[in-house]
Amino acid sequence: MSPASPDHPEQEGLSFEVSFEDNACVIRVTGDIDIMTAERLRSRLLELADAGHVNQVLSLEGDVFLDSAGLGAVVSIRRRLQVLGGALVLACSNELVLRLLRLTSLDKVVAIHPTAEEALDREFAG
Amino acid sequence: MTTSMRETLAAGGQVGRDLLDVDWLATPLGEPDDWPASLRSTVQLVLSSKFSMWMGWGPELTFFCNDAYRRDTLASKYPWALGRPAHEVWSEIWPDIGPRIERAMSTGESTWDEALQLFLERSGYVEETYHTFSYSPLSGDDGTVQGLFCVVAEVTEQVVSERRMSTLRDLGIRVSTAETVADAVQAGCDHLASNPESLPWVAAYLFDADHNATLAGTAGIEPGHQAAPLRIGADDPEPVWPIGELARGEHVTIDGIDRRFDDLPTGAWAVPPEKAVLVPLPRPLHATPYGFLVLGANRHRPVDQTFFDFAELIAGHFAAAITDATAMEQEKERSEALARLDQAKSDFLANVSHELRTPLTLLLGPAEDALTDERHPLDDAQRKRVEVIARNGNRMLGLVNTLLDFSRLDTLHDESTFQPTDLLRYTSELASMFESAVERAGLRLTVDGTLEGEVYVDRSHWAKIVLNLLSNAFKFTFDGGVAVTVDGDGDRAVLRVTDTGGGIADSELPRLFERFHRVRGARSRSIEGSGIGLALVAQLADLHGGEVSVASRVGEGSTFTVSIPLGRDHLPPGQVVDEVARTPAAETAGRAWSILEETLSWLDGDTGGSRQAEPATGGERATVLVVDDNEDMRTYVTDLLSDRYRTLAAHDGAEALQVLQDQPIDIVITDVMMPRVDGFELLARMKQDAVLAAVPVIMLSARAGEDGMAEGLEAGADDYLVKPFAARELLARVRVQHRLLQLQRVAAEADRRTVARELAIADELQHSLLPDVEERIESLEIATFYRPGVEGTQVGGDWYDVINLGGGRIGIVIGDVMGRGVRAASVMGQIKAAVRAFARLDLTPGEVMENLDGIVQDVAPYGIVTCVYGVYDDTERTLSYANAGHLPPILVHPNGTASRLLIDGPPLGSGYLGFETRKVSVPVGAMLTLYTDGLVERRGTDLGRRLDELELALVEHRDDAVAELPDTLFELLAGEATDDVALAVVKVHSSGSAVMRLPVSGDLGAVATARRAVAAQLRSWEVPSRVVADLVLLTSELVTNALRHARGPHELRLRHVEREVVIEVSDSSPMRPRRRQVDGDAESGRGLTIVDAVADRWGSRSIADGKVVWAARRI
Repeated sequence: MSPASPDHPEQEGLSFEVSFEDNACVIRVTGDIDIMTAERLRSRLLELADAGHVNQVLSLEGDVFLDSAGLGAVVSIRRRLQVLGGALVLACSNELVLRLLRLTSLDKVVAIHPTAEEALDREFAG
Repeated sequence: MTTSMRETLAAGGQVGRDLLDVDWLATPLGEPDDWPASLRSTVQLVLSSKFSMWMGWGPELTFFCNDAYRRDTLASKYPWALGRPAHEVWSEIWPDIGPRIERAMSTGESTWDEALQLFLERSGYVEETYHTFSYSPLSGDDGTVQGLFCVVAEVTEQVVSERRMSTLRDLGIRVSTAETVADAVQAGCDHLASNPESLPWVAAYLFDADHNATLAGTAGIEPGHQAAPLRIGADDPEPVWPIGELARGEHVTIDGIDRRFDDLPTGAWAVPPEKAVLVPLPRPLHATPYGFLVLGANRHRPVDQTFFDFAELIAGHFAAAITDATAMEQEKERSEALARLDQAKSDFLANVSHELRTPLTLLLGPAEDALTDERHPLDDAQRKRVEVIARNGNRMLGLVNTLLDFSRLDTLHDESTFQPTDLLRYTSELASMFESAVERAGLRLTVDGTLEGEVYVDRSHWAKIVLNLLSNAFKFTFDGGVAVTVDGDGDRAVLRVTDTGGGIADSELPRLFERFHRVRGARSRSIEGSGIGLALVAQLADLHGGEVSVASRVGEGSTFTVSIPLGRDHLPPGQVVDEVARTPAAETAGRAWSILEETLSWLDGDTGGSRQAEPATGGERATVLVVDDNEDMRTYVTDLLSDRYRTLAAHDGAEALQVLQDQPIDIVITDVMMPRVDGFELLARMKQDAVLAAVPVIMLSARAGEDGMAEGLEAGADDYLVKPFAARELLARVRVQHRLLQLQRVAAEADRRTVARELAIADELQHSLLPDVEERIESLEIATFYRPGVEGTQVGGDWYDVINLGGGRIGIVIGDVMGRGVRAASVMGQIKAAVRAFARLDLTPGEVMENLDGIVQDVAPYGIVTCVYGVYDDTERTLSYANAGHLPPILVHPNGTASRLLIDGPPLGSGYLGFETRKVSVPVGAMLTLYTDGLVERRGTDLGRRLDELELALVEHRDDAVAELPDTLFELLAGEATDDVALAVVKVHSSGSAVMRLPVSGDLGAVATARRAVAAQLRSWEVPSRVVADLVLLTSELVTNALRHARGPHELRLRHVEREVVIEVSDSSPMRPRRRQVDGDAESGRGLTIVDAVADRWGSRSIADGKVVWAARRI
């Protein structure tokens, strides 16, 4: 495991830390994912995907706000990763965010686990 | 050794000769001819090498180099450097290279450095350079390390150009995805910010039409900085940047900017740029560029041709991105314009249809009167002419109604409700409506299929699909028949309607489902047709996620196929309900009836009225006995009623009396002229029987006019209908009788035959149509009053209603249907329901009136209806209203002044379309009184004086308890009233609501700003955190939606009433938001789905110059 490196910690209320595990990379997000920041999240994750990290765990375990614009970014990342032969898995136990995923039926197309560790274990082990 | 060192040097080219000129005696190395062999051979090696090299020898590492090193690296330090101590030659980088030299000399091992950044002062400035080099120790004659040898390659050009290439490559990718010009420019700048080495700072400007330049993006410099002013005017005498030259497309380089501007940003370096390079952003096919870039150039690299090329390429990327974004903006505008055009077309269609209906109705009435007038009968020749008028007028009315349906197609998306349906069974129920028509035409109709299980459909849409296809098939088929099948096919349900008609030419097939397209030259039953039916089918199939197709052979027939997906995943989740539909086909078919009606008319040559299915009023099914000697009529009426009522039939009065003796009958419908026992005799005998006397009787007669009706009613008929009658009218009459019957059973157990009973019924019927104070409305205190007329035997047509529209807005309506009896009451009931429906659509009062006008023309073509509809807005404390011929409601202000809500249009039903919405302010303490004419009209008394009296009374009693006011007013003014009186007093209280207003700026950061402001405000209102989270999410969605889809300025309003918080976002776009169908992978379109799920209520309404989208959440 390589040390976590913070990206743009103070920019626009959204920060993420990327760490690279054996079979997937984990992006831990804190802050607001909305129309303002969704594009930045998307480009960062797509950048990782372009660099070969096509298995990604997007961890929303911290203090996260998500709305439909944020969901749009998640969907487009998911699609790209799928095309590239990888997968996007969410780690989340925040009831508000989970409800949003259920409301929009995204829980049917994206795997969700309570923690990043569990997500790695269940989806990317071996 | 034969050659001296000096000779060797002399032969060593220019550098060798320059070395000869060095005063070697002043160096630790002394006379060259005395140098040790190892030094001499190394110097010779260095001089002759084409690789760039230098070496140092002796205690001070005295400096030697060759011609390649001189050219590539030393530049102006040559020949000064020759023979100097190395630490002096490279004093500026000694801290970097000193330790490396030390290591090489002390360990005897070579060093290797690749692309080491070194700042050299060889060109008159501190230059950023990159070198790949190796230091190797040199041994003296005695084998000890005496010197140092360096092979070096300068890689500055490669490093710098790679850096620039990477910037350019990414710039192309990033910039090209922007959707607006502003985004494109800012995205480009954002990217340039990632190369602060080459470009410490950048400012991007765009020209407007007058060549003024506006700052559109920056990198590394604050917008508004002295060097990056927000605007540079074309007429600025001393512009910060020479925009005149730039507007002409010229490139400009400006020196000495570090002296000109204070605090210039330095980018990756310690010192600011010294030069700015200004490049225009070329605009294709235009002399004036889009704008220009100001590039603060890295002062550690020369500003040379390669930099200009770099700048040019950046400008090219920016210009291309702006061109793309402009195209996208134009595309978006075009599609918005198309959407507006489409909307305008639909509106036009709706308006035209609506306007056509009025004169058509007015034309048909007299024509039909003329045909049925027995006192002044038409002679045969005239009759035929008028019949032609009436028949074709009715057809035209049918077409106009279809057009109206079609123009409403766009709103069908929102109105659809998909529910699981046994499609085979439902389809066969629908098809069965055609049976009699098909049989009469001597054709066969079969329904068959293999589909099992349930399919999600909107039942009224499906009815239209089936009936339109059947009607179409029937229209073109003269022999054989029509076969309907409903099959399962994998994951789809497939409806096929096959006919044995004339078929359709191949050339017609492609356009068959287009709007207004009509097949030419085909033999058909009717020349009617607007070319809408099949287009409607296609659109409705599309709403179900399905499609429609046709296969046809001329001379053999056609098969139309509608295929829709099974399951529900393809449907908008908010419009799917899971209860299995049980209502029969006819009830959901709605306007689809008119299709059937039209088809029937092809056989009859007469359309009659439109048969509109209406839901039964509930309760158990009543039994209706239909008595008529004409078999067709009997069948027609029983068919009409059979969906809602149990029906029995009798051939004449005698048979009817037999049936009445045998079993309980709730309602009798009887013809007048019949053999044996006719209608009047049947009625008379029933009235003599203690039990049968209470059974309501509706008489059907061909005798028009007041006389016939009076005769029937005198004989004791409960209602009287003139043939030909509209199906809808018969249904309405039966429904009212049924309802009266139900009320009677509950309320009038004891007294069946007296006037008192009827009074009770009237009272109850009226009250059942008036609202209970159903919804608690925080800020309004409402007291209502209704008293039937003294005559009491008949119901009146007065009504009032209070409708909570949500978002702190309340609709208040009062109206009067002139006339009495169940007819007026039934009309009133329908109009009241219509007001509710229009109010819930959040139409403005003026629009409500215009729509009501059409309804009144339908349900009471000869009636007079007056009405006032107002909407109270608790936030604005205003009342918007429109008044159609009704006595003016009186508004008493807290200070005791009074005003009247004046009439601005004639009574409803006259086809007037000019109703305006007026707005008055209603402060806390204001009191609005709405009333009907029974309160003020007195025979022999001037109405104006009565209104003045009412106004005085209201002012005088304005501080009385609201609940007592209606009684007080009634006593004061209407003690001896004979007419019925309806009265509503509404007083405005403070709702205790708190309001926050927040202007929303146009940039995307406004969404987060709004969320934070809402959260902070809600916390200060001590709203529970779970609710705050929901409201913050709603805020995010509504504001995002507004920024994405609607023009600004936007404003957010947050309102807190006792148990509810309402968020409203206003904008300046008239289009209403529409929930879109979203598949699992679409990137957007979820916003309103989320709003729908999280808010308790949400909606939108038009305002003067835009709309408000609101969502409410209970606390």
